[in-house]
Amino acid sequence: MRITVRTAEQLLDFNRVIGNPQRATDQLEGAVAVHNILHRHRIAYLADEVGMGKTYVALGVVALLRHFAPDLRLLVVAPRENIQRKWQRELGVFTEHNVRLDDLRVRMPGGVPVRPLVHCADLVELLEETAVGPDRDFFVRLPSFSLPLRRDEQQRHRFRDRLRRQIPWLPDDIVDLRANADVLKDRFAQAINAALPFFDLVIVDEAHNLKHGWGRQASARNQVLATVLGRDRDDVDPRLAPTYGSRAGKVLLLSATPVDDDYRQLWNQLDLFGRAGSFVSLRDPDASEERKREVAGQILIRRVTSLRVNGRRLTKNLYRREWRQGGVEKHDEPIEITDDRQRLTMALVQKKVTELLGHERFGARFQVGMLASFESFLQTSKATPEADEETTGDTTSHFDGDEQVSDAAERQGIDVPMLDQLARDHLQRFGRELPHPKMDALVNTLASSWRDGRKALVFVRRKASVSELKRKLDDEYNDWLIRRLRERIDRRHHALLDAAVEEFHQQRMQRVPAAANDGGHDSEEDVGGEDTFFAWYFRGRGPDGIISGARIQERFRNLGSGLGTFFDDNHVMALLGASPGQVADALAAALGEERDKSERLLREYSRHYLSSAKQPTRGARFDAAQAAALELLAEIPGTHQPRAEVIWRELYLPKKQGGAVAAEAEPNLLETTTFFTELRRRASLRAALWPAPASADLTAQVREQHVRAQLLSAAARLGHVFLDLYAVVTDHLPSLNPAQGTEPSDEIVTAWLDELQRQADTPPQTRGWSAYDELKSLADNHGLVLDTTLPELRRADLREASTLVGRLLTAQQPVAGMSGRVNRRLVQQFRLPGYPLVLICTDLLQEGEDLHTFCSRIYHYGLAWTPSAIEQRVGRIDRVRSETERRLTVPRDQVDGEDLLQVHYPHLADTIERLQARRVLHRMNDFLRLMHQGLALPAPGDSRLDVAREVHADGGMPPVPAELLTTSFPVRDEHLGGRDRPLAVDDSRVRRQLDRFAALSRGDLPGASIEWERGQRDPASLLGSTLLADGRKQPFSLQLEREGHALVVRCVSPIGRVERDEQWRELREWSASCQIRIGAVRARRGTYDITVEEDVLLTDRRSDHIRVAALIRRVTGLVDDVERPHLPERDRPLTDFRPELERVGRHAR
Amino acid sequence: MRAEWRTLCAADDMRVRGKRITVSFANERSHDVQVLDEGDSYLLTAVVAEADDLDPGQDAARAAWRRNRHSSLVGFRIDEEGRLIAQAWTPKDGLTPEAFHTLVRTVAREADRYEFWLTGSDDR
Repeated sequence: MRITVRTAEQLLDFNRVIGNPQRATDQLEGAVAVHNILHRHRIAYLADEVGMGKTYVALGVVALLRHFAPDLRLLVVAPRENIQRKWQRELGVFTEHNVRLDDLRVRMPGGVPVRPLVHCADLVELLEETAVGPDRDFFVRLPSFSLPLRRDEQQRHRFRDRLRRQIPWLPDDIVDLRANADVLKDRFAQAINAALPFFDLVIVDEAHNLKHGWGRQASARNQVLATVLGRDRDDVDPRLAPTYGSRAGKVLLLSATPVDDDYRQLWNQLDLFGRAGSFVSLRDPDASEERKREVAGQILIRRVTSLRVNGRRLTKNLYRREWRQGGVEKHDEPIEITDDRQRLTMALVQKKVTELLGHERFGARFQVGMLASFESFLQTSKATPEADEETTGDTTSHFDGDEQVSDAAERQGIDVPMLDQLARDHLQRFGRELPHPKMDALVNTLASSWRDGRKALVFVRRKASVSELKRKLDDEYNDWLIRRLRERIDRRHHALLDAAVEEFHQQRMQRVPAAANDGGHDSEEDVGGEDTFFAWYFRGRGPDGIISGARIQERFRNLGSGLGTFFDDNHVMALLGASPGQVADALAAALGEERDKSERLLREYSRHYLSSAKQPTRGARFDAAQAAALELLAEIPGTHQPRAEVIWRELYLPKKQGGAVAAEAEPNLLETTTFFTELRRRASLRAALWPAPASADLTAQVREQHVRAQLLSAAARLGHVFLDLYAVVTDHLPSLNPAQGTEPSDEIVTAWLDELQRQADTPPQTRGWSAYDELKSLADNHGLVLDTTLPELRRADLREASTLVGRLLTAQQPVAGMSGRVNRRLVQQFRLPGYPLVLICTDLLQEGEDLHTFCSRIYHYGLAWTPSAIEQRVGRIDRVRSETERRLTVPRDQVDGEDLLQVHYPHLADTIERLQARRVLHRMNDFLRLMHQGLALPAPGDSRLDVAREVHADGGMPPVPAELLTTSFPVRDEHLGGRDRPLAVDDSRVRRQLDRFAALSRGDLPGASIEWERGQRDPASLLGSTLLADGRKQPFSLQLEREGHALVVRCVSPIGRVERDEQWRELREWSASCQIRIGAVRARRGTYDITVEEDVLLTDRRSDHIRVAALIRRVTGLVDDVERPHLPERDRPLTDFRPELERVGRHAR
Repeated sequence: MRAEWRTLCAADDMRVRGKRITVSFANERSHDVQVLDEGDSYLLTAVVAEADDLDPGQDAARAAWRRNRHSSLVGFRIDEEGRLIAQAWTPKDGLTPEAFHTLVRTVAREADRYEFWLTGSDDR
């Protein structure tokens, strides 16, 4: 049924996070239009410009469809693994923020999605997971459809065997590996189709990757995708024909660049899913362009992004500043070569390249990517094939993408042997590397990043360029850092520091250069390294013989050290509003006890929060004192009780142990001053760096304050900020010699705050980018940081917050390089203020990854050939809530060029590369004309460049269009025409359903004696323990769920961990004679991996208590039957299982 | 309110024979569900696969238990004869025809789906 915007806005609020009403309206209308197009055509194409939130619009469509049809089954096909994960992350954020109500169809109370999200590493995993539970949301990636059958024998066998385990009935000859790889892929695809369930909605992200469609000219990957989803065909294997059929109901395609230069590419994409029948005009050469636009516009919508700047609307061509003349220093001027050596080198290389292109093999034509000299003159090694077909498609190791060159022989770069010889000669004769003016100009420009804190994103074509650029920038950074340290650190430390610098240089000269550009380790442990002095001195173990940054860092982590509580918060001091030295008295007064008794109680309570270690660390005792005092305050009615109870519940309750240990916390620990207790006393600094939460909800306040504190302290210890903190610590050390250095004292808190205050009071231009700037930026953009990078922190167990944040911010590097594989952590760090300031990557990060939050400039160092590739790259930093958008949309006196989003196309004038840049920029303009109204249409592109023709063509660079862009594919009135209808369930009905569920814990449950847990946050979950006849207590959880339109209550009771094979065997044998529904948890971590679970449908409300009581009796009784004979020592209390039982809702199973 | 199950399953897609209900699906497949009266509750079961149909190299019980974490209203287990069984349980109190239909159809549908996954055929 078609719907209206009025209907949709009852369910969706797109403005809640972005705070941009116009964009929110566009997104809502987009969701409604796509919903209605899908209803009519079963296929829709959302082609909004990059960064407008296509993912969110698509998620809005899913929510609308699912709200009215809760059984909707979803499959999302993402272009790469990182984007696959991003979809899952965004679905969580969208559900929490943009779905207005807990309808129990799309969103559960607490803002989580109703359906679990399933990440599938490949198609066999998709088969396995859909067999286990098809009613979940599945996320796969496009390369998985390549099927790894071309490589080594073992890999083929392994894949075949895995597939057979999922489809055990497959006839032997269908999976006979002696068949040709293409035949085999086709058969496997048909078999996968047979075993897959039907998906009501399939979303394909970055669908332009399918522009070659179906047929002989298309990739095997496309054929497999189409077959897996059941595209109509008449040559299905007869044995699979009875089961072969469509697995896709509605298909939603997403891409900002649906075509490059021909509407035929759009037809190809529709045809791949068997939905092109009504759109034949798109491939008809005789059809007029108007006709093609009209036809495409039935299913395709595209809106153009714009920003309102000082009251004026700017489309992307107006708020981006393109540097088309090639320079990087001064806008619209070419790179200046002033040095004679550079000029001579360039002339020589150009002569050689021209001679090479004059060879009859090339006929003065070259393909983009075949010349290595545009990027580097360094020697290049020979290409080797990638091990994993899935990661790179069919390319070799010089590139990550598949559109750079089509001839395998050219991939290495036809000019490489010539360059290698030149480079060798130059090094031998002059004792230094061959200069590369373009690279040197870029390095000079980017070296300002650590002075002004501005981030830069650099795209290269060749993998080798990643490491070369990074190495040069690391050299620049090292010079800057060492100089900065010497200037800042007291003279008495210089001798040791200089020795350390010398040692670093020696070690760095001896190191083996990294073979891969994957950005280094992605593990939790920071191993340091020799890339930069920062990595060597401030991270990992650090050098011996000096109190290095790494060593001070370790003291901040060590709970036994004096600095171990530096970044803790003294909640009790803050809660009681007491000053250091007065907390114990204030606590006694609040408890209404004499101080002696209050202290005795504190000691006694603290024994439940300490481990059995003989001598707990000072940090552990400080924590126990906090927990004990807060628990005491939570028990006494009064002004402090509500807040104390929340802090205690969120941070300390889960740590409480049933038994007390001998060790105890001394009350004077409550007088401890920390960075946060002192920051509270400096109002302006606090407002800038650790602002008080605005929420009226107490739990939300406590959570936000704690999360902000964790982010602030991790940033202070692990990145650029630490340079300043380290300097302050060394001010209070007599020597950097570990044998002479003493433990830093309490005065460091004050000194560090003074330093931050001094920076706050000094204009940034006069002091350079400093600790204060990074911390303030982090605080100012807290919500953005959580939404884009750490959404899980909003609902995580608060005790895990410091680990999550620490894991994210560890192993920072000022310059990051990435090719081959995505380093998740580096990408996430680039979305935060601070390191890495420069990210150099191949087209690995071209699609889908958001890098816009703190970056406003991009360098196409290695220019891509297609407009879609260039647009996708720019789209990484041109998105909703980007740094550019935030900067431009605040009221300002005037906007100058520096304020715009900077797009650089570095190249040298008077070189062949300029010809290429000019062609690409012409194509960019052509692409704009194709997608927007009132512009002439281009001729199809050719990725080969005719040097002679280009040289004689008009030499000027094409200008950026200066008029406002208007889309050719707006949302039409017919797309929004529908029927107003009420939501399937509204707020009041959901409240009644939740009240009905909550009532279960209030009334009598016949035949069951139950203790319910207090203070549970999730209204769709109840935790309790039932007292069994034999005196044992059995914990359980009840979850309110939905099956279609009916409400279901599920009861889960944990048995525990079954660790030995013998126990598994016993359990199997015993369960055969018992009508028990056992649940096995796949991940073998945590407190249990075996449960008993069962559910009942809720019918008449008057029967709820009796039906649910029967359910609880059955489930807990069966668990008792298992435990008594098989696991007799396993009668464990609810507290043991609590954190996991709280998360057994359907979305988390 | 407690109703005898036969009075609860008047539906076009259900045919009762003794203690057995045959549920027909739109795709022309069907599956039998057996009803066991346990006094205060009913247990509905359906055979997914005979012991011979199960791969001895696979731990079918554990696979079924893993599936149970994600299934709603229906669970799976291996019985004493080594057969893979789908089952659902419901108290009699408050049981309505709609709820009983939902339960019977869910057991039949999920048993059928599991059977197809294992054998590629419809023998039940």
